[in-house]
Amino acid sequence: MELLKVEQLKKIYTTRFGGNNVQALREITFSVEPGEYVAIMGESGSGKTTLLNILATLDKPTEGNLLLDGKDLGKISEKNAAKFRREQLGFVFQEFNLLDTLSVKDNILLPLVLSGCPQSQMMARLKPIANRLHITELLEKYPYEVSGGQKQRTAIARALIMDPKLILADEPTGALDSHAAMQLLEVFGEINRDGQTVLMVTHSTEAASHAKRVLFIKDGIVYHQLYRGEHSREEMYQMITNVLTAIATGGERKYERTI
Amino acid sequence: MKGLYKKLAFQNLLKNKNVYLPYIMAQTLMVALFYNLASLAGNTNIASLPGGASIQQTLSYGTMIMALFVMTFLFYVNSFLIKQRKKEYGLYKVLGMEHRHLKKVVFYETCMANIVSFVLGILSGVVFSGLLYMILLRVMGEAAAFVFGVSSNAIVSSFFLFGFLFLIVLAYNLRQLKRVNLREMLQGAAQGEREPKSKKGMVAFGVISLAIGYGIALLVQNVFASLFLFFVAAIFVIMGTYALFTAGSIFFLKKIKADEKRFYTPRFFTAVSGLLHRMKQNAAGLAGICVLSTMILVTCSVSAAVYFGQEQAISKTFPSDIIVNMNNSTDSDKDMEYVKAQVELAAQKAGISVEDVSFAPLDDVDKDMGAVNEKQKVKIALSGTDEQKIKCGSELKLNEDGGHTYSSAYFFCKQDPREGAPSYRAMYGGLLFLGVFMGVIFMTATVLMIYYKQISEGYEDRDRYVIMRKVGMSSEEVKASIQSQILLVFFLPLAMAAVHILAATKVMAKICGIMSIGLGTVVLCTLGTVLLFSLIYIVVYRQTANVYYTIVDRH
Repeated sequence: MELLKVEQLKKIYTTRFGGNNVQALREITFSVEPGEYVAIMGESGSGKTTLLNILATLDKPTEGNLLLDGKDLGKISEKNAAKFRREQLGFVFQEFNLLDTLSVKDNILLPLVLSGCPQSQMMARLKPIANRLHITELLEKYPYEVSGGQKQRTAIARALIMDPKLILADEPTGALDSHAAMQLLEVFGEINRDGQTVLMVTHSTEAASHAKRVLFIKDGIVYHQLYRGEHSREEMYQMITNVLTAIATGGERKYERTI
Repeated sequence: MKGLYKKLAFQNLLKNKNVYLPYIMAQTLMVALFYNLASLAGNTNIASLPGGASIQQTLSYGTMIMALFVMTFLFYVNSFLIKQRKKEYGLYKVLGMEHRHLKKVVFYETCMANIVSFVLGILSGVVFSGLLYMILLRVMGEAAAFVFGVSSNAIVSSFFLFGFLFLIVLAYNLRQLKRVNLREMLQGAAQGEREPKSKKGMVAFGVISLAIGYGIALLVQNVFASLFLFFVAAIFVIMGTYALFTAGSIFFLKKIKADEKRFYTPRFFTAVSGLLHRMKQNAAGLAGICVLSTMILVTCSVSAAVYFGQEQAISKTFPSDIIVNMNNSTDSDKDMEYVKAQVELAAQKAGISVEDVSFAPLDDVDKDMGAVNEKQKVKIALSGTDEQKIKCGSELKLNEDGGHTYSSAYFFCKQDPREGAPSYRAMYGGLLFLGVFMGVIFMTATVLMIYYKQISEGYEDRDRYVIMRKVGMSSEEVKASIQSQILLVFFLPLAMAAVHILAATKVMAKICGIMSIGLGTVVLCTLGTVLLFSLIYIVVYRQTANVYYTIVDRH
């Protein structure tokens, strides 16, 4: 059974004074199986941020269904949405979104604290995750004392600590240099191999080539999708580049054919 | 080319109105506050009150304290502001502005902000005192009338104080520009402030300063002879308050943080870590609120004591309406009959009646004058108004044998019927007026200061709450976290002010004692004032907490 199911999702923004309606998402349909590693690619303005916000329950769809593990996210109340976000989803943002008043350790523990987890359990959950992400030495430092890559690994640790069903990553390598970005993508690959489902929004071909499946969004619809299958990462990179070129030069829509 | 920097500076102020508006508001408030106090200290009407010289001396010391307070507070506010803008200055440098150009921009910015707030402050100070004066005149009657006007002396001294402050602030801002390198500048506010270390020395300093201040206030015998000492005590208490709020609160927060079981709960986690990081800026504002609150409590308690104690004081000074001394009376009872008859005659003419005539015990003054006969003083109680009683007094004819016999005593009216009462009332009215005037000014200042803190902190905390919401904090949880944070912060100054007032009670009782107001009245009035003030404080806190919340919660 699929973990995430998005059916005919539509999002229309109405400007404040009625006026013009902007259709950010026309019709998005896709699903994600448990343990998958999916990248969503698209140009600026393609609607990928809107899609991510809706997946993150930060925004509501105008039409369509959004099911996570069989639960309808479109009809969740504000109060429950927060709890849901905390317990079922893990976020990794481009700008890290770490609190500079908390140490690395406390930043990671934040979701646990908000859930009212007893303090004795916190350390037990923190240790293996910190080890896996190689940030054990940094735990007592503050975000402004560590590098960008380390900040992002802290953010991943924070996303993982609640043991979420799905990790949502929004341009996680956007603010990193190529070396740190490379390392970070390895980390995502690793946690996915451990069984974690990952959904990443990006416009970096490099980042997307690490995924097992890539969805291309253009003008509010899923335009095309690619499976990595048995291909190597380099081949995947080439395939993505070809699709992007095709999209940019106005190639035909191949979505129905490949599915 | 010259106009460019001015224009740029002006636009920068507009663009940064989130931070500049509270800053200008705070400074305007401080100017208005200082102007009002300075003009009161120079008000000649106060000098003409009984004890006016002492009041004026107190006021001028108060002005000095206020000057110190204003300087420290505004300096902190400014340093916080310039830190937030470093990134912007860094950007200008990257865009090709040289250091000297940037200096000009900062110079104009500082000038504009200061000039605007100074002019606004003086204007609002003048308007505010005028309005308040008219309202109080209406409420309290002519008796309390002071002549208020625009005090040029006060404007000049405000100008000097804030001019001086301006120079310091300007020098500080320019130095900030010079000190940081470009890379640091661009990181600016995002760099984050290091978690402060607990400073045990500073805590000790605060405690010692407070002890000295309290000690002086409690041990000094004659308040008016040693006004200067009292001023010194106030300085110590203010220093102690600042030190304790800065270091003490950090110490306290660190204690909570060290207790991991308590720290890692939704209630304390975000609140304590947030507070800990900005306690340095916080403390100055909180200490300011505490000092202002104490001033309010002192002035309002004394005013209330004056108001509620005045009848008591008047009847103590004038134990009865008329007192007749019968010097060398040989037959007291007979002579009293005579006095009674004469008073009844006079009362008839005044249109009132005599309520009671009886012997009064002798006081020290009588004994000093050589009185020996225990029954030689007659006190008379009359019905009717002060005016009628005065009329009765003037109609009273003694030492004239109008068909009555009396022994060879010489009678004289020791006390005219409450002749002094109206002038006493005027004096108390004047003091009350002064107290209420200052109370209202300080109260306005405190409310605005709390408001200022909520706004400036709201903007500071906004990003933090946005992140927390993304990570999975609901609106309710955000609200709860904010509440425990603000609760912790805002009731600290109130509690401290209550402790201060406890130490000041003795001095207040002494001052009131000089005005013949009893200790009981003072204590009751102080208690009442503290309760009422706490109530107002809670209301203000609730209202401003909403402001804070809307800033933080805006999507």
